[in-house]
Amino acid sequence: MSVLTLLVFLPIALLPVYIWLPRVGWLRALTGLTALAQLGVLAALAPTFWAGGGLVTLHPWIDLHLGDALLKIRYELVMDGISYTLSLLSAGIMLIAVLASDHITHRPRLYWILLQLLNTSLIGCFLAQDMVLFYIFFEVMLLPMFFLIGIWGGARREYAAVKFFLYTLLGSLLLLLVIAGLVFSYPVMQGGVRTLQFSFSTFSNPGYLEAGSFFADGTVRTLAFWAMFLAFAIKLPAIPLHTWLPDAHVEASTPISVILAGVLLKVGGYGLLRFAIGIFPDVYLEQRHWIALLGGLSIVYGGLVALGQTHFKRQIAYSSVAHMGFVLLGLAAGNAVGAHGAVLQLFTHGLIAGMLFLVAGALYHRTGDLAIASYSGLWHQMPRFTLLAAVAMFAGMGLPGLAAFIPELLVLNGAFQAASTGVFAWVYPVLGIGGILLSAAYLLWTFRRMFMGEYRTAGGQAWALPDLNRTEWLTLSLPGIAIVLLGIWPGLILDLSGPAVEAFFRQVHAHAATYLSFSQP
Amino acid sequence: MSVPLASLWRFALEQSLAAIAPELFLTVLLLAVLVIDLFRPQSTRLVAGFVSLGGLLALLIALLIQGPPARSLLAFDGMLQIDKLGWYFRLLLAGGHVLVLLQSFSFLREGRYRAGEFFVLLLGMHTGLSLMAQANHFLLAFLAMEMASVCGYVLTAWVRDDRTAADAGLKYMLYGVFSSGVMLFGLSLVYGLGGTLRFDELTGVLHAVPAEAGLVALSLVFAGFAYKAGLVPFHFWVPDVYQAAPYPVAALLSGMGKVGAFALLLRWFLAAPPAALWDGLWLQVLVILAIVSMLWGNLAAWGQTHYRRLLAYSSIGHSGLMLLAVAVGGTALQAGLGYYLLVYLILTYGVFMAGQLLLPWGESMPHWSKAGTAAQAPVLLLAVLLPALAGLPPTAGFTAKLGLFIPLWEAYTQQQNPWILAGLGMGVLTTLLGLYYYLRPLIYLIFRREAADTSLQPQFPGSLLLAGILLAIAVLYLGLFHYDRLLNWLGA
Repeated sequence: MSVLTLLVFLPIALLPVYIWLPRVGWLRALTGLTALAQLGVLAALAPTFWAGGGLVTLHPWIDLHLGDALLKIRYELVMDGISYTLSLLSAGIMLIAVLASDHITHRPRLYWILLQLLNTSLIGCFLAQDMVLFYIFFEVMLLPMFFLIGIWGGARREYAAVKFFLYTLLGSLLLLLVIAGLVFSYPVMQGGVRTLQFSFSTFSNPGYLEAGSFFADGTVRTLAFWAMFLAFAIKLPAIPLHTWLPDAHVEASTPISVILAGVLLKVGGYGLLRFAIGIFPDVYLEQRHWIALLGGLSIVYGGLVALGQTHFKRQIAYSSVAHMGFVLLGLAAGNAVGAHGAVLQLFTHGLIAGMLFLVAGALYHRTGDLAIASYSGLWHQMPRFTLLAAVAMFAGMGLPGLAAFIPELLVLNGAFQAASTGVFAWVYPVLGIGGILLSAAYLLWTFRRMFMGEYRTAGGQAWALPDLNRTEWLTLSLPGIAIVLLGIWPGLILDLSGPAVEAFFRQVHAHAATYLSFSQP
Repeated sequence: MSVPLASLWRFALEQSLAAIAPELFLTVLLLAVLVIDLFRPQSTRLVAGFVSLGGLLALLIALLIQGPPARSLLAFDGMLQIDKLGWYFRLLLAGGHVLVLLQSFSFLREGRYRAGEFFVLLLGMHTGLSLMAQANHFLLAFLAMEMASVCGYVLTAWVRDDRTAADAGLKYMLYGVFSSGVMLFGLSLVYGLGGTLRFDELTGVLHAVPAEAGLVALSLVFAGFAYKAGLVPFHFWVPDVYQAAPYPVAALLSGMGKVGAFALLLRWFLAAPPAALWDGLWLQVLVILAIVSMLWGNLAAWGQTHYRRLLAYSSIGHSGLMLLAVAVGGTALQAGLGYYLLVYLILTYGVFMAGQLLLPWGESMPHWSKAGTAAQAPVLLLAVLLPALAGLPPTAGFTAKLGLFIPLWEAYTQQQNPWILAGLGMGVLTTLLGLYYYLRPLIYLIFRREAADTSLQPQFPGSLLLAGILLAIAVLYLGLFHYDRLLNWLGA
């Protein structure tokens, strides 16, 4: 059995234990151990990826005869530097979420089962190369999340869960429509048989595009690119498709918010990069300015709305929207620098947003109140908590020395390069800089309001606000240490994902040139 | 040496009779059960059921042993077509009937009515549906449809002192009679225009007929079949009948009824493809009807709080998608439809069974939030089956939809007919719309679960639970493995 299959299916393989183990308390340890095991496997694989290599697992799965053609859905898992990085993030965030789940007393068995299902589907999304397999993992992600938000969430959890499910399903169905159509335009001749494969390597290869087929037409390609873009932009989320995010984040419980912000959003970014850009590089290169527009809008709009928030978690949610705007901007740049920044931003934002939600969670578990105005001068009462909250918030602003600075720098570098060659207007990178300023504004303001000044809370004497206990210390320091480490040594991740990003963009440019040569007489 | 005509005729007759041996067996079984019911006293009323079950299992085993026919054969001078597809539908119907019997034992045990008649009517309906699935001639289709329908009318109103059931039965019958009348009128027009009522000769004779006349005739004929399939605008009986009929009957109508109706439509459109008539105008009409059914069914289900009405409207939505598949046609869609019908049969039985298990808490979904932990078994069942009906991976519902969407795309890229794309797009959109109401029972049962009311700890019948578990496993298995073997076999 291949190591990739082990990585993806280890959580599900343990499900029978989850159903029958009488001691429910052990399930939390088991879930944590699964995540730790996945991290271990990934650590063991690190040398392969530092050297710029990759891993492939390929098995035949479903072979359908359609007339004289053979339609193949294959079990195809591919790990390159980009998927390695994101799998690392997924396993790490899962571990942190397990650590943060010490308040689960309501229906714990179901909770842990759903988390394991989520674990499998998340890593599966990053590794699947066959698009139907990817789609299956993409969808399987939704149902556990729906139940996790809806059962263990806050007051409006049902509304948030249904909105989340329907909104992201809309994107998924668009993706399905495009996938089902693409397969007919990229036939491969294998042994004299016209084979139709759903593999990304087939769809991304212009050599397989059948002249005169449906998806050879420029208009169709443009529409299909934007349909795919829409599907992943809903998940990212990009303005104006972001409205599910604040509700989902606010209503979900702390560990679920961590997973949602930490990993689920990254699936959107990954899908955009790998599939939307990878399959339609010609449309992408031609229409990058729209992506830059959406990125710039997300950065500024997210920042402005976050500035006006009075609910702490909602502010973090909108700041996530703004940070994901940087991903869009970096991808829109179309050069390797911007893409490096985008991928690194995906990784670091997962850590930072996760840590910020843990900060919110620590307060929520003590008082149940997340209004920013309810707290003041927490520094005096909870100094150790303030230290870690400060790390998270300053990282969120992109302070040099902490994780988010380098990716934002790289993104802006790439964006300015692109703007100087006329790909898109100067205003977008300038908006990016404005976005950093905005993030400093609202995060510093919130920090000042909640942590500085004299100690005064809305609950007064009734609220006991002890400092962090041991579990919380551990839970918060893990991302904190990673954030500081990546701030000083971003090469840790850049060296892992770098070669893959470079190779990917070389391929994008080469294939785009090939597609353009098709349409030239 | 010339062979005497009489012996040739007798040979053809013998061959035809041998070809419909399963249906003949069902008729004999029906008569046997009827006789048993007449002569056995009330206390052994379920004997008839066991005889029926035994006969059906024997039929299933015989069908499986005999295997599909090697070549297709026209029986009774073109009335019936006996082929691999027919064998498959016979299997589906027999399997479905066995499931209904398992479901009805627990239902009948509590009742006070002569159970023997129930089994007789079930067998009658099965025979009718079985003949429908192999029809090649409109008159036979009409006869078979009426046989199935009449049994259905009586089965709906089975519980004699339930006014809503009697209401529903009457509505079903009135709609049915009216549609049959319309269909007969259409058939007379078709015969007048073309001179034949055989499916396989239809395209040939209607080709030359002007589009207006032909469309009217075919639409009138289609009305009768659409009524049985539950398509808009002949669907008005569906919500009331599904709501008020006894549980096994509702499951029967939803599952086997649809198998029979769509098998019949498949036969008709395979032999006389809509795309071949009048530049695709007939196809256009059918696709529009399919789109309307999909939209209507899925949108109307949004507001439902009664579980079975929700299932009724959702079945209208599914019918719309199946009509799209059967109208566009082609071997790939034929295979996809056969698979979709299998999956739909499993799923619809499962959800009705789950509903029957949840009966102690009523059928109004808001009340289900009081079910608590006592309802764990049906809740788990629904947690697998409802996402499957919605078409979510990794269940068979997803592969069934994929099995239709992919061939529909292929048909569009080959024929460039914008209506096919419109239908496909609508199928995808209604999948999204459908998710909302498929989640509603889960929301009431899981999200809004109140503290368990320990006074109500019903005993779930073992047969239903076992059947439910098997169905759930089948749904998950078919969603991931080996569905391609079935699809390839159906399409060959």
